[in-house]
Amino acid sequence: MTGSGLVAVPLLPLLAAALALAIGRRLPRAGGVLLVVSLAGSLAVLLSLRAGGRLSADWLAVGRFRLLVGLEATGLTWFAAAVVAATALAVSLYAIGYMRDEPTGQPRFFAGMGLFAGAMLALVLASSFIMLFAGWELVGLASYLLIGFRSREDRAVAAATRAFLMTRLGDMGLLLGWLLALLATGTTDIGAVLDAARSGQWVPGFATLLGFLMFAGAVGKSAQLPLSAWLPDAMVGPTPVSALLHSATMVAAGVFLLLRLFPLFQAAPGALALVFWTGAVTAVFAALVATAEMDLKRVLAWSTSAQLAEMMIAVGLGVPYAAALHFATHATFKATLFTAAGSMERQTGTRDLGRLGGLARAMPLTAAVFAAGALSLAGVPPFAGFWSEEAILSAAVARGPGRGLLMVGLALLTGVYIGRAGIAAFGGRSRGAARTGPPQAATMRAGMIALAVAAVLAGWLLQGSSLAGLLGMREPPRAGAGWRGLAIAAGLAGLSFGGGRAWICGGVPALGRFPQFLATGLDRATRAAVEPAKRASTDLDAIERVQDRSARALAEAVICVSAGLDAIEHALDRGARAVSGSARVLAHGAEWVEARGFGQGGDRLAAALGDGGQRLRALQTGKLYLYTLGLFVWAAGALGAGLVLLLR
Amino acid sequence: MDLGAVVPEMILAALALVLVPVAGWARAPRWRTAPAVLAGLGVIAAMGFTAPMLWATPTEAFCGTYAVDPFRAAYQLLLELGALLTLPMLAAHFRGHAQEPHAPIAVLFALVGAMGLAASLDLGLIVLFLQMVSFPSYILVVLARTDRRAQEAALKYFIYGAVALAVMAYGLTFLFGLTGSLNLRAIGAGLAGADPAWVAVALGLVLVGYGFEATVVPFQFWAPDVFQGASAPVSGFISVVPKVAAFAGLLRLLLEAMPHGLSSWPLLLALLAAATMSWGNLVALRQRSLKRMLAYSSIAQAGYVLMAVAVAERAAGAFGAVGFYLLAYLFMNLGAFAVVAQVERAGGSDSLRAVRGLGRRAPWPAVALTLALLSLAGIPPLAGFAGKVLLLGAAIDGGMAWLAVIAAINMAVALFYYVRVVAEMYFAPEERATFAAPGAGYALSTVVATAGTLALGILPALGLVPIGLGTNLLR
Repeated sequence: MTGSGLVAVPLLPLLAAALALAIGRRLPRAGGVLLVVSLAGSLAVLLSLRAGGRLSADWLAVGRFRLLVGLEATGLTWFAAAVVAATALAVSLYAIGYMRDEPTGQPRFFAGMGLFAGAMLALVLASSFIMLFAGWELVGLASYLLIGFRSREDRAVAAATRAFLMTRLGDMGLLLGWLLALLATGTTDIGAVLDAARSGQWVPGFATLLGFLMFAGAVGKSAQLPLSAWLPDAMVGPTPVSALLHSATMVAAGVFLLLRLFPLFQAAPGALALVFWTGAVTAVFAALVATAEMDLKRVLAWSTSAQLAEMMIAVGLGVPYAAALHFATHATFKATLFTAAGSMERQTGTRDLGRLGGLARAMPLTAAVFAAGALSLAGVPPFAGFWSEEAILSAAVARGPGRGLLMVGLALLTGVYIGRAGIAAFGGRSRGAARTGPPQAATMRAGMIALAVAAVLAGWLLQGSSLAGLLGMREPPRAGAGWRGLAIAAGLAGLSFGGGRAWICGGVPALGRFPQFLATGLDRATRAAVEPAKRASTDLDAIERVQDRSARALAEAVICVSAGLDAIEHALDRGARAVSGSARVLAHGAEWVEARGFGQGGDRLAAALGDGGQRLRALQTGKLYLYTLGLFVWAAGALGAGLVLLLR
Repeated sequence: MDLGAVVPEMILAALALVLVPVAGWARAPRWRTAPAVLAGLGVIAAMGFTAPMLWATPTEAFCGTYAVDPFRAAYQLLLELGALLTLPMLAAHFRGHAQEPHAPIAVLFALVGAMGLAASLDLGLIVLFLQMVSFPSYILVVLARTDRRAQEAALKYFIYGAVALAVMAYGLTFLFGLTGSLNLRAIGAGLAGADPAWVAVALGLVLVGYGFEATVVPFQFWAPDVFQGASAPVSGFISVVPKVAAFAGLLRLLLEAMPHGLSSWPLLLALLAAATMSWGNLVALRQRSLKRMLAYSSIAQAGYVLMAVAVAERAAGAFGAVGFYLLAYLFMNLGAFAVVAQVERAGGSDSLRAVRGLGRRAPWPAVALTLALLSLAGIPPLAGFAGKVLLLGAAIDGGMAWLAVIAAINMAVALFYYVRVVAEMYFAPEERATFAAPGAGYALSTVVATAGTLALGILPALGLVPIGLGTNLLR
């Protein structure tokens, strides 16, 4: 019985999705309600179960290999599932209001969200790599369908395809990684693979190789360098999608994977170092680009990339506890920021930082919610982000002052870009954009407020030894007061610099324009990487065409030859006819002689024979089927005779 | 007498012969469907007689020329299933045309040839049955008589096939010359002491024929034109039945006549597999015609399967992986072609634009095509994913990790062209308001293929158990 309720957790949203599509024509607005109810159900089941349940079945058994599917609620998976379900619940509530005025496609939208929520819950609760990978691919598919939701825009379809393909490139690393683990251990059970990694029975390089392959999947999903370019483009999707998939949960799946497989990475110091450095480079790069983006949602997208990179840093430093805590707090405050941005866009019709400004008075609730998220992101105590960022800082300081300074620098940059974005949108003078949209729906406000409250309180509520105990991870020793003060000061300094500059100059890039070049450079590099494939495709196509032309020439030559043969045959035919003509003349002469020479008696016989011939000719009606029937009768006769001989 | 060994083949061949005059008589519109129905029933009956062979002890019949083993039974069941799925959509396609009663006959003849190829132990029979698969296929392509494209396609198919099979027959004469026997197992024993150079020559020549049927690079040139020129149900048939037969025949030839990786065929096949999947996927990226795109896709899929054939002797799971993937491929590819056939029928075109807005015009066919394409791309939980897991696992297990990496990159790239069709269906605004009600035949083929794709993805054991029995090959 332990854990059979676990199936309900991912299944409820999937059922809601199917139902939303099924009744979509009659009740186009029911989808949102269904989704919210199903997610509340999932969350309730999850909370009633607590950790410890487990459910597993054979999917395939080939020789010595056992491929399992199953769900399991360990401390980590239970915690992650609770975070996912709760965030999804709040964002879905918000989405009901957000999508209120959408004329068509509500069933499609909520079905996509339900598919995503179900797949994501299956991903985090998975006890086997098959289940995890299935969830992993399905959240990618849901993301593709949801980014492309506004399909009338060409950009949306291009961005959706790009996101799907770039993440999929990493997915193949994950696939090869778990296949290799399967071959080494004979099972896809994650726990068994981790036990094998812990026991140290593998040759030294093997764990590192596995770590590299799995990390490739995490890089693609979590938009780390060099596969980051898809995330900002994905912002063309509806805002609830950006809030849920592309900040709080789906992109965090990469970090979750590293946490889930942490014992494997512990056995592979080389892979951990790669995780750390990828995180460090991405964090600095993305935070810099975020200071220069002009589109509010793209600022938040780059910020997501940077925050996920901070989680990578925490994992790379060997302190998964800090990453897990940041995974939860980031989900709350980034979803908060996105819902506020969406609310603002819906009422002003733009998210261009050059045109927004001075909107705090027109929409105080949105501004307050955004401020809660922003302060949390910047690590201002006692907001949620402060606690998790401090944990990462402590982990970094424990490994040396250089890494500590990196985290302080990141806190400064974070403050700069979020201060700039917040003030450019809500503070200073008005620059054209004004409130024109209808008042917000109650559901939208409820979702926003719930997320904002979480963004304020979640860190304080979650942090501490009880969470560490649940996750089975150690808390890092707290950094000295000097370091902690320095980080808070850096965040505040960044906020005031970014905010002050935006108050005076508006939405111009906070640190000059060079970060924009970084972004375009990455974009160009991504495109250039695709170029060889395109060129090869063109070249091969050309080769095919040459080949095709030669084949056609050959075919024409064959036709030519057959025409020639035809002509020869005609000539022969004519010759034969001439011969037969002269023969007939001769025959006529002979007939004349014969008719006179022989009597009428012979004529009777000839007539009788002619009659018989006529009857035979009727059989030869020129119908192929009768000929073949004859053949068939013959064959049947022969076989029958054979059978008689055989039986005798 | 060993007549018991060929009961399924006899049923089908006799039925085909009987149907020739019947098809001539069945002129009245309401009788025209009769041959297709009879053919379907015959195939089902043949399956009933094939299935018990899954548990047979491997023996040989007819003086060692014909095998009775579970391997043969598994592949013959696959072939019969492929024909069974093709018949309804073929009937729907030719509905109301004079060719309607004749098409099932060609399918039956090709099926008998394909089934014979899976069981032949004798070089003479191999040549005979390869021709017997090919000729009805040419006829099927040209059955749409008015179409100039189809005629050109059939001519290309015929000429290319004739040359390829002739080259192969020449290669088989080397095998005979080296060992003095036509029997595969006698050849396998005799080749051990033969001059490796001549063995390599023979292998190189023999591969041409199988490569032609299975669309392996560099013998794949005919496929895109033929797939595009033929009507979609016929393309579906040609993309499945000759291919499955070729893989069955190739496995038997390699494992029985060239055991222990003679003249390093595993490496040769691995290189061909890498070339095949990369070529197919790269060229598919640029296609705007659905049938042509599916042609390149089926070339790429052949490359994936060839990957496991290359490690058939080294990895325990490779044998089952080939069979399972072919089963999955049969469902997903025929599912895709069944929907493309409907689109082609409704809109008169198979270009990418023809499926615009299909998600709204015809939700059920659109769902079926989406599932088929996602399965071909290897998205879980569909049949193609389970199959790809098995293939990649076999390649890594067989010590060809480099090939698995190439395949994984290919699978990532391939997603692009499959998803582009999905995007056209769901994201693009519709261009035509109506979608003609599809015939029941299309619906039948589509539903069965889609159900198979889903069922094999969720419960792979359904397919893997019979396929697993079929790994028992007469050696």
